[in-house]
Amino acid sequence: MVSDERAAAKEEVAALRRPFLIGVGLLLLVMAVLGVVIRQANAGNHRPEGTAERWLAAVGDTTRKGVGADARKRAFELGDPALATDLLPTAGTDGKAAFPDLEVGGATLVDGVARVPYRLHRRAGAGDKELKQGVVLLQRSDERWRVTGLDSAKAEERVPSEGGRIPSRAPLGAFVGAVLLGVLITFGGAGLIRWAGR
Amino acid sequence: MARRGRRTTAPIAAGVPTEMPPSVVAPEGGPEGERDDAYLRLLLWLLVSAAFFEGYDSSILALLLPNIQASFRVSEAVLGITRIPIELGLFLAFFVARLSDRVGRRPMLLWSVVGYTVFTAATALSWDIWSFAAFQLLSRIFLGAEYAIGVTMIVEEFPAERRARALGTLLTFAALGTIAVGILLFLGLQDTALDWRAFYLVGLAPLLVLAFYRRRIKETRRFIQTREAKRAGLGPDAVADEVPMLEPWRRRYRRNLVLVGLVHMLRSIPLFGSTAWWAYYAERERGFTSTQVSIFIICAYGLGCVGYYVCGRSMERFGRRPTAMVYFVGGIFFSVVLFQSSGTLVSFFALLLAVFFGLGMGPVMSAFATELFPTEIRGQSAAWIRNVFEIAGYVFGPALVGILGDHSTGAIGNIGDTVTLLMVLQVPTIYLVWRYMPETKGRELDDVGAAVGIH
Repeated sequence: MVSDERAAAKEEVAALRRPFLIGVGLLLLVMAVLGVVIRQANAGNHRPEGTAERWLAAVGDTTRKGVGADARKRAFELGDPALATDLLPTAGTDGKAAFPDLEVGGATLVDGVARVPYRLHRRAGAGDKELKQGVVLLQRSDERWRVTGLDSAKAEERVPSEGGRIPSRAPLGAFVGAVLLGVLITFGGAGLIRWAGR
Repeated sequence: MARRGRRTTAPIAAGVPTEMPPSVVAPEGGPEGERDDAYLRLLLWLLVSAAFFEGYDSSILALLLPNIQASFRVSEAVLGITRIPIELGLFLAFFVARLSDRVGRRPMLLWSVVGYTVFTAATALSWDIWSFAAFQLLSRIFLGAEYAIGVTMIVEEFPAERRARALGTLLTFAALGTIAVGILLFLGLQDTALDWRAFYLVGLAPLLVLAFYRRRIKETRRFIQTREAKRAGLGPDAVADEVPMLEPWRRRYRRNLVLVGLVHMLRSIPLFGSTAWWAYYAERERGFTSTQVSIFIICAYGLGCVGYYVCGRSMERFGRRPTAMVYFVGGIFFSVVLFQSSGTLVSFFALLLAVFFGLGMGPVMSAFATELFPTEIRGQSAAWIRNVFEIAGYVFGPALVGILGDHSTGAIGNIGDTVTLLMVLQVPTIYLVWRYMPETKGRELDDVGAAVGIH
């Protein structure tokens, strides 16, 4: 009796192999389609805030032991690191990054120049930190943004932690789309469970 | 006899059982399975290192993302993509863990510890993001296997009345691993010359412990019994065949597998997306210092872990379904608050409650993953749920957040909104649990099968 049941079970499992492989194939196809959709959604986005943030992070790393040369190269790809000479600590950093933290805000565009507010702490020796704030100036170059200078911040140019705009917000349509996707998943999931129970 | 044989060799999913209610996964204890107290204490203390380092290892990646990003000069998108192969290690761990059914628990545990420590130390020597991802992938394969085999050894060696505490201790140590990273971050280990690499060198500790105690670890008695029964040539009624991988997809189990798997997957994508990116979000989008982040982690995770205990108690008192629904609502709500608020105090309490509800629902999720399947396929169905459905969240959650939230090229462009949008994926789980999940509160395992129509 037990052997009969086991044999029937083995037969059922063997019959599942083909549908299982088809299912895996379909799943891979869905993932590939999703990948293409996401790639399309990301295509053409080049935000000055992201460039400013990476440039500041690279400049901060120029004082780090072991990665300084690489950081200078990394910064140079986005803008001349010499522009940030005044930002770097005057005292030694003991091999640590010049900026233990940094934050950027939403950019404003004035005559083709993007102004990105920043707020960071720079090391000031003996474990102290000194607050530095201002604006990174960027200009478009071959579809990408490049740092062209630093400026002092105007009153309204603030980072998010001080009440300023965040660099980018999801559009309202994205939230509506997410809710619709949630509804679709709910019904799709319910249908799948009912199908699996047949 | 036949039942004992099946229980003994059932494969166990990498990582799942530490979250399982022990009463539903453990084989019945018998005099032949008992060890003396001193050995069990030693075994437990050796095995908690696996749980501790699973929490520790995952948290390094989450909490030191900005440092790793700076070292390898890569974008958020590339960071997100590299999480895919890294997290696939936990999926592959299942196959390594299954080898312990053939060669034994003890040798596989020892080799897993060696493999984990070697590749964790190698991670500290990574020269670019791809070597980092490769070492982490290999490290996680062994870490996941070590964790799964450790749990199997506890289940097989501890008597029934002590398994709950033993497995509870394991779960707690996984959370302590996260808190340990927070403490090291607070102490400034990342500011040493080795930067984030120093955190991975700490991962060498288990090898030192193992070198000292390896001769005192014994093979489990249940494994020895099964091996001897096989050698004696006893038939399939004495020692059951290994359960085929596709067994849980048979018609009688399929509905529950799809239901529980879907719920796990929809939970894990936003959950692991948010846990992987919170520290980065706090530092780069909310202006928190690394000290603030570490204090938040230590306090909020420390207090939020109470969620595991409350979940366990309320699922016994109020039932699995209401507990899961309340925890899902709480997890979604406080995660959205966490990723949308800028106030420090609000963020602290939101993190605490997001941990309490979001991670704290582990016991009820494990109850779903185990109680709805009969003993002979419980290990295999738990493997599907954890190593396929849930790992999808480990793999795709962090990747989606990194790609869509990339500050420069992402379609959404910020981490906070991306996590908030992904949280919508958890909403359908509330409906699916309410509408389709069978309630198993107060039922003995033998009754559950009949109640859900699978016996």
